[in-house]
Amino acid sequence: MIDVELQGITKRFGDYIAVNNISLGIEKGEFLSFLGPSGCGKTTTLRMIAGLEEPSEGSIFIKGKRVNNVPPFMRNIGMVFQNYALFPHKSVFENVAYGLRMRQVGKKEIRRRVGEILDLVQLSNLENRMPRQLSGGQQQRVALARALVINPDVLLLDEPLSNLDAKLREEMRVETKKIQQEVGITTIYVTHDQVEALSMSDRIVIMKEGEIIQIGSPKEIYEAPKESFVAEFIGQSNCLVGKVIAVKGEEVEIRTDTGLMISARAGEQLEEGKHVKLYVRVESIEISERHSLNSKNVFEGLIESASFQGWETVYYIKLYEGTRLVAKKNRRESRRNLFERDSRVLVFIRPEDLILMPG
Amino acid sequence: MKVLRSKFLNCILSYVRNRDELRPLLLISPSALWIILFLFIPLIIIGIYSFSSRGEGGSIVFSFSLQNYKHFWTTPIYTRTIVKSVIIGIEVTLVCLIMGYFPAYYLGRLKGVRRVLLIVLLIVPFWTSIIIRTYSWVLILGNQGPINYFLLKWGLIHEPIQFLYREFAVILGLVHIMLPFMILPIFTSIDRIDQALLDASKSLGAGNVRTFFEVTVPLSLPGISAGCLLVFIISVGAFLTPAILGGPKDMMIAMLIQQNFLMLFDWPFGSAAAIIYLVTIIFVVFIFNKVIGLNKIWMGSNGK
Repeated sequence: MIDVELQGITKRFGDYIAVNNISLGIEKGEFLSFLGPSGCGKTTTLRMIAGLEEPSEGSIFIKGKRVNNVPPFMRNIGMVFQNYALFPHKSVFENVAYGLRMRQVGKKEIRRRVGEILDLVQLSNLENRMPRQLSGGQQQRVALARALVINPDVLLLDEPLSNLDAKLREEMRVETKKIQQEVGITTIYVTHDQVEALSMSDRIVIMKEGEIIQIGSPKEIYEAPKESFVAEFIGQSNCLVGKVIAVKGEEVEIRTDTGLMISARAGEQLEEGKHVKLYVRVESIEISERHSLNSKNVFEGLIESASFQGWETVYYIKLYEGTRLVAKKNRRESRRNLFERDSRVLVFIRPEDLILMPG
Repeated sequence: MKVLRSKFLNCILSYVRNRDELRPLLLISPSALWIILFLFIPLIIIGIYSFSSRGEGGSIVFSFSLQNYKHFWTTPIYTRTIVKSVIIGIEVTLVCLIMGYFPAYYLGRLKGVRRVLLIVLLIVPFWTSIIIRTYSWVLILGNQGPINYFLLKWGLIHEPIQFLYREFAVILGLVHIMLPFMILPIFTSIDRIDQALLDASKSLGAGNVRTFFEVTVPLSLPGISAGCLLVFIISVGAFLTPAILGGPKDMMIAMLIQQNFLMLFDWPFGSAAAIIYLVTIIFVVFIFNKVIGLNKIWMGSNGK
């Protein structure tokens, strides 16, 4: 069942088009993320669903009802803001109870429901605190509780974790997802953090300059990006530019501008002479001292520098043709082979690990 | 001598520098010194005067008696003056609050050039002397002034309305001068309210009016407090406006004090009136603090 639907939504601010003709359906209980760089229109889209902005064109449906021109306070949505927007003059309890009070819920019922939701976010013992007395993570939970307690039709989250430090962000990522699943609420999540989007979402919507570039599950987005923008935005990749010189069925031979001969798998039909871009994920490059398994896509190179980062080590490799590659190996993969600077290595790239895009 | 002094000064400075809790003292010392020299010491002198009595030709006979205070409290004209001053202060404050809140709110929500322009317009009246601004009301409200002229001309009235030299004119004149003192602090606190809080309130089901009373008003309380105190204190002590626009019945405490000092040469009684005025103001502010909480003024800035 479709819970939230956008039909041809466009938002203009003067001459500037913030969101350009996007259409999308969000399933009941789905966790959907809008992911993109700042200024891509993701927050504007969320604010239009919330009713805080009116679309210039198109329709928004929530639970089958068209909500254009319905003010936010009539929409029954729960929203968590980037800076949490907790009322500084109200206690945790009063903050959470606010939405219920606006709905004329009885005092006893408010007590019960606020108590329940504070249990869910594990803040029952702090209900008399003022927001300024809470840590960032606790504030985030209060904001979540305040949005959930009113049983909204849809939960909207606007970069709720971006103000937390890295460790806490990871914790809250898991926590938020857990709470969302427990409640089973349709959730729209706006972020510019790919890790958040990849780890929490059922589906990700990649946006750029007001348009949807790709919609798909985290796995699809990661493994089969549709455009170079997605390939560059998600994960960390090396980009090689070249020309197709031979096509043998699925397999294509490509010569890069630096003179590297490399074979890849083509998803679609490619003609000889066509310019292409090749993306190689940093973690899919294999490095060894000797490589005897396969003669294809094995290149000789030199470790220009190695940057040890604990769990991972990042290698900057220069192939003999001049191509530079960045590779990342985690401790398990590189336990046997921790390469030093200036060591000669063989680099191997599986043809199926290469992402091919028309250049 | 110079060397000695600088050594002494350095000694103090290094003592203070090594103690973090004293550092703020160093920062406020110039203004503190000013206040001690030109406010507290004169105040103590006035306090001493108020217990003295008037001698021949306006001289001061130092003694200790409560005669001046007794005289003040037992003379209805004087008690009426202080009560009237407080009432006018409250009236001016209320009118300023009602008239000032919404312009302040509008200013606080406005962005960019228009906001700067309007703030400048708010400050421009300060470039003109209060005397000129107050006298201009005499022209406007006078029997031959434009208001009466047009009302007569259109036949709405048959004889000029007496606006001047009544409480109405005093309040009008004071509101005119005090309004920016109300608008500016409220504007500052409205400006500090995060738009996201209003969005959050709306997303939780509160309409514009509820959001205003639940979020905007409580969060602008620091500004309201500051504005009200400022307007009230300055209005109660107003001298020029009631002197120019008020009638004999509208005598305010500052005029009473001025008369005793400069016309009647009764400095001891004038001093007693000044002390009574001061105590009254402190009392009213104390009550205000109990009710609204003066500490709210600081709440907005440091969040504590």
